[in-house]
Amino acid sequence: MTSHDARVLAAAVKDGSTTASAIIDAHLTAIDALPHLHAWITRVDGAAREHASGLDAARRRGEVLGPLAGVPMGLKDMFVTRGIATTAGSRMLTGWLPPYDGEHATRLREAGAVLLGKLSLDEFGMGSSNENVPGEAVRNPWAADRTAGGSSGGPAAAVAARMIPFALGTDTGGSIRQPAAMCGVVGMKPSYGRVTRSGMIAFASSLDHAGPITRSVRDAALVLGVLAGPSDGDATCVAEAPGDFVGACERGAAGLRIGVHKSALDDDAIDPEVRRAFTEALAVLDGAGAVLVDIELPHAALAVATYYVICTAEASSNLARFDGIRYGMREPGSTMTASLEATRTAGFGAEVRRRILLGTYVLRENGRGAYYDRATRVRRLIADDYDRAFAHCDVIATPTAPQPAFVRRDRDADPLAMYLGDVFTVGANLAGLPAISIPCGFTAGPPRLPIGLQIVGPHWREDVVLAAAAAHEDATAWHRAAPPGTVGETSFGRGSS
Amino acid sequence: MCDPPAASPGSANVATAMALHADEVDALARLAGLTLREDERATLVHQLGDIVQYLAALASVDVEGIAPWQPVAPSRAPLRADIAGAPLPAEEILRGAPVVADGLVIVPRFVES
Repeated sequence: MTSHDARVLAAAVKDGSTTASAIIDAHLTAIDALPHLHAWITRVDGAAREHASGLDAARRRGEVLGPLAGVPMGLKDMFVTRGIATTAGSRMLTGWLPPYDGEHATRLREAGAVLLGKLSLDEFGMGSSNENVPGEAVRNPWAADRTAGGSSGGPAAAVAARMIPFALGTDTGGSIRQPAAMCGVVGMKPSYGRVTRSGMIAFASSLDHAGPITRSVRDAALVLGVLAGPSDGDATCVAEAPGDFVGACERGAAGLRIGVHKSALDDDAIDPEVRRAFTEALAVLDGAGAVLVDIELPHAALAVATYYVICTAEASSNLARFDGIRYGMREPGSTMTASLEATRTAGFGAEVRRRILLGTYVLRENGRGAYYDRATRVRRLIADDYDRAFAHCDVIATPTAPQPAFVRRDRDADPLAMYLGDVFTVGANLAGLPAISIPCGFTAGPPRLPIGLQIVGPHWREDVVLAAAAAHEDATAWHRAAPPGTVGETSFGRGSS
Repeated sequence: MCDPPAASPGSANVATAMALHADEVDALARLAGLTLREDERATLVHQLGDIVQYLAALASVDVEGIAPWQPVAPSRAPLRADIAGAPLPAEEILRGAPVVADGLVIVPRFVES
């Protein structure tokens, strides 16, 4: 039961070959079996069983069920849920029970998906290892001594370990795609403006995206279709026609032009096994009829610096709202200022404090022109590079991360080394482009660790990204591999499906 | 597309910002509403200095005449109907506040005696 994709489970509920209640029970049992992964912050077993029971009753009454009927899922704890603790992975929001549901929770519930709980993350989405947490870090299901990636490490680990067939993550600089790559699952960041940010706790508003983490490209398309569309709560979420995302997965890759930025692959920081797997992935796409095209992205080397100026500036502004007055925790102090400083110092973890300080630095009066204003213009140059590249290709392929999952706590003392791991993912956030990470191989091991292929498309062209990703998935079996101790195929063979 | 902000992007500060000093980090912490421990300050001086040095690469780019990037052109951003909605119940909002009494959020003293 727990090895099935979301669309298989929903179809089974709708045709009566199983019940939502049976599906939910099976997945709750799978979660119970893997507590050492520390993927979940909050579980809502009772509410999930009640919801499933209601769906089964609705089917018996002959009601039409939604496209995700009876499918269990989890939300990264950045998504607001009415009456269910929402922490953003921070002590700061201890005890906060949101008075409303965000649009993501609402749309998924209306589609029939059943919420099992809230998933772990790097605090406020800041991190690439899921180690910036008040409690235990999420373990990688493939090797417990490795990070699950971040910041959506909980969602990626839970989907990889067959606890749920899909989860919702957030991606500000790669936080859906990088953990998806490190856990061997599919992670998709849509175009900026495709999926609402209303009901998602803000980290860096011009870079934040919501998107699905799944075990197949077609499931990503299905969930994206449920989430896409304009939103009263987000003025940047526009009424662009969503198109047929699921149908796009059947187009194949014949004639598709795949852009490859070869000079970016010369970086010594790229693990040789990542380079090998990426080369093999290009060969798979070539074999599916795609055409490989050399492209240039002249300002790509500036993407990480640009990103860390903009994201920290926006974070320092967004997180100013956490003052110990309106929600979450408060530390006592003899004055308002003393209480505010004590609350923010006790409430925020080290990485969040570091980014707030950096954001304050780049926004201060004598630094704003040199850093923030300059970065917004370099961001334009980076986005223009993509526009020019897409005149010659339909999508761009890169590795998702330069290295496979690294050993936990390995980068504690060197935050800059952690930031440089975002080299392939931040460009799509800066330019607001749709991008997906799909499994494309494993390291030789031990331990054998998943490797991800990233495919980036032009703005609003999730369809062409999904077409390329599905063509690769159809020609390989990497996405079927399951971590040790979970239910599913464990073969590492490439094979064909 | 909006006009560039009045402050022109410059590189002088970037070129000289190769290191941060402890008093500078303290000043940033005050602006950010944070208090630093002694051991934390020393680590941050080192780490933030490394990061700022890395960010200085932006100074090498000619951005003269380049407009800032914007996520969605204003002409395409939708306007929602101008209809009053039901506000969230006050008691539910107050439930999330750390200190509440008589239907009000209680704040620490903010006028010095």
